[in-house]
Amino acid sequence: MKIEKTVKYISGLARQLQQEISMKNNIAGSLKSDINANPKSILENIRNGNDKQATYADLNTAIPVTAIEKNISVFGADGSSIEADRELPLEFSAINIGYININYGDDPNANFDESLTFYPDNKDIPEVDRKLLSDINAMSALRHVLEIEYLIGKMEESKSNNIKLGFVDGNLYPNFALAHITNITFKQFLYKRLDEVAEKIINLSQQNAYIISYNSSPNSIHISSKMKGKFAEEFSDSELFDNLLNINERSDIFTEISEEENNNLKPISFVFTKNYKELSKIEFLKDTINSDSMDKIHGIILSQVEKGRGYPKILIESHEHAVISQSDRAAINTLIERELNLLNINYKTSQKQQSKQTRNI
Amino acid sequence: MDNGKIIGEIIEVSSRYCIAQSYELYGCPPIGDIVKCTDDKNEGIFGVVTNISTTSIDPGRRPNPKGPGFENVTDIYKENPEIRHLMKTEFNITFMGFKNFNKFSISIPPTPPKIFSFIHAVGEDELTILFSDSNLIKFIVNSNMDLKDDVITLTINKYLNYKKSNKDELIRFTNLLAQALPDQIQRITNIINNLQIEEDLN
Repeated sequence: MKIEKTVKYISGLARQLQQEISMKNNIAGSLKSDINANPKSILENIRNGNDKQATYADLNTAIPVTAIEKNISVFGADGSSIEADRELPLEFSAINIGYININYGDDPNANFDESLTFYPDNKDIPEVDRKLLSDINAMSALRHVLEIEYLIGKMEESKSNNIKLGFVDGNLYPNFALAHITNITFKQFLYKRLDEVAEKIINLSQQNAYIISYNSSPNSIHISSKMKGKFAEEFSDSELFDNLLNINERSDIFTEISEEENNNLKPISFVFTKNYKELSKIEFLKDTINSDSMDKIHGIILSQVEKGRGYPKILIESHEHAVISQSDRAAINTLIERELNLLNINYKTSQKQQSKQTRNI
Repeated sequence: MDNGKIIGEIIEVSSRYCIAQSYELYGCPPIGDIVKCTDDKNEGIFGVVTNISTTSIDPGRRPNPKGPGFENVTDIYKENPEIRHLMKTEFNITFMGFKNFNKFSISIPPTPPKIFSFIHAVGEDELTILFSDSNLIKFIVNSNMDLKDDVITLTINKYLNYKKSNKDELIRFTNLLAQALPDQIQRITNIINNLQIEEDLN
């Protein structure tokens, strides 16, 4: 690789970014003035925390964190995959879900667990056939659904009387992956599972147990894209709320009335929170968390971020528990080789694959 | 077999020593303690704890300080209960004897214990037999272990306090040290001076 050419390109991008940042800093002040000057301007298709049409005035809502309860239980689930490898003689995919529950307060303790599933020929999900393995978006969306289902199952099992908060990483629904699945039947299958998930989340919320997704420095434009004027189009939601919130504050609750394809799913609400490191977006199922519950949850989220030094500790640990390491992957390859050899099947990877491993001169 | 509570299992082993991991974080015996390794066949291989380490279970994840803001260490563990699952305590055991057909020998075992063999605390009877063997101190002194003199001090110390032994016993150990370390008066003096006897020996 010609390194000089790369350096020149990267430094060009960096200069461009510097100009954008400088421009945004200049107009940030004007943006606040614009919001204050036009409190009645509406944010199209956005509802506020009172389920009314949101206006610029709602953007100025900044709620500081309140003291958190002593006894709390947090839960987290994250997933990791082995994608099907067409170079291997056995084509399969695996999804590993890592889970952790940490209880704080009078009886502090932690519980770890994990769930490994293989595809195709999975009894519980026969919908995943051999063809589907190569659809990265389908497998990614499936992984996300399995993460939430596993989390819900564990939270339902929990006997703790504490307030319970379950975390998933990113968005609550796997929006991007769902939008790009080409197999319509499988897509419908996932929508159905997500609909069942939503019912369970609603039931949990009636038992002081809530599920949220944590989106670190989101690139979303739910709110900023609905603002008018020359300033708005330059900003993402993160940049907008970074200017409107102080550290340890959260925004009002917003809900976007979606016109997109996946509007057959139950709607999602969200708040923005600013911690000492960054801005994050918290998503949850509409009407499962009201403003009072969000006040309690806000403190728990910030406490998790503090413990994780910038990112929720529960998500860090569930990710660590989910990860299929390089050594695990190497062990699987060895296992495949051994099993095939035992059956006298001469196992050889393609010459292309072998050439990449040896890299002889 | 007269085995005490199982503390942990061997995770690495060679002829002279092994490394064991305790089932519970910090659940290992102190340095200088004598422990017994057993599998389903051997009658017991005895060793002395020579080193203790507590590290992350994942070598790629180093622990970060949890503070500032805590007033005591107990609070750190209370506020971060996952720590007990993410760290492990390992301890080195230098072999110094074994039991075969109910007979004790001070030596490395002919074959080391199996990996995943259990580690037990040693009962009073076996401890008495091992310490009554005059070769024990000589074997430890000549072994190749970390912190040798500290281990010798702690081992003798533990035994004397455990048995509440009398002055004669202390003199016996001093004589054994003198035989094992000829012309090393200062070293022997340091070992004896460092003994911390809990009660006055009678």
